[in-house]
Amino acid sequence: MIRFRIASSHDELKSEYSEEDLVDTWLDVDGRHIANGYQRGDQNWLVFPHLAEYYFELQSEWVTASDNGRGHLGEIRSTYYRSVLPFVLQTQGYLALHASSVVANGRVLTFSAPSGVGKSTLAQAFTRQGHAMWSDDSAIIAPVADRAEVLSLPFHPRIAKISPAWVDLTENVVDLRSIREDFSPEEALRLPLHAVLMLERGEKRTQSPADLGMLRLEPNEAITALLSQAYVFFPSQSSAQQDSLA
Amino acid sequence: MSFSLANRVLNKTLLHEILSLVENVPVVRLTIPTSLTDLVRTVEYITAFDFKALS
Repeated sequence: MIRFRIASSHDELKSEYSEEDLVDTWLDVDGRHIANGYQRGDQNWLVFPHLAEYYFELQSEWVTASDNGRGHLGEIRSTYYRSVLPFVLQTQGYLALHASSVVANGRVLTFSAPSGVGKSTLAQAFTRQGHAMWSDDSAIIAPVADRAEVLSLPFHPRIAKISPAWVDLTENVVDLRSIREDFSPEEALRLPLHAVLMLERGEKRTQSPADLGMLRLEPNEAITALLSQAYVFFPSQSSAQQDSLA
Repeated sequence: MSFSLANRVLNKTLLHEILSLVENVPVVRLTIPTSLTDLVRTVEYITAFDFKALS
């Protein structure tokens, strides 16, 4: 179970990070700074300077957000579900991809690409032809024996732009009416993953299936492509993760 | 969100997850069109596509 709450005051978080704890920095497609990740032992912080700080510990079920006084509560929740929860799930052994997913013939097709290439647009095109959207912006994948399953995240996508500064994080804002504050990945709905499609923007008209250039990537190409679109908080292995692999 | 590739290859958990995925599920490159008309056609192509044939 992963539980989310917004602290009533910054003091509630008690612990503090320092610049020595910085482990990663995230930028948008235009190179603008979005967030920093800090780690000290099992303590982790995701800091969105213009919105909030999110704190979680590896062995705790709680993720706590601290409002920095300028953030809107709806944006804090929305960013948690869209950008923080995938990082937390990755620390629990799930593969979290920057991707949108649809259901076709009872199986999930996942579209992964950097922001702006068109994964949400393609997913929306599927929904217009009667296919269900399964996830938007992040796909949580669980390996199961000789296959993989995609979890249903606890929200329904909704298209709405807020502001240019937050377009990368909130261009598809979470529908707050459908959010549950607790999320259990073990109990989440799952469907088998049929294929992962790594999207590239084309320049010419699509006249035939051959124009889509659908080729299965060689393993080394696939690994590089997936790495580039995977959520991961820790640049190196934590002791808890090493234990989980043992 | 854009991710830095260089420092994530050190995360063995992530590599383990990705290797498992690559082994069991086709990872396919797809060039998507820019026109909406072609996008509709693209959806039809993809839904009819036999991904197992790529295995």
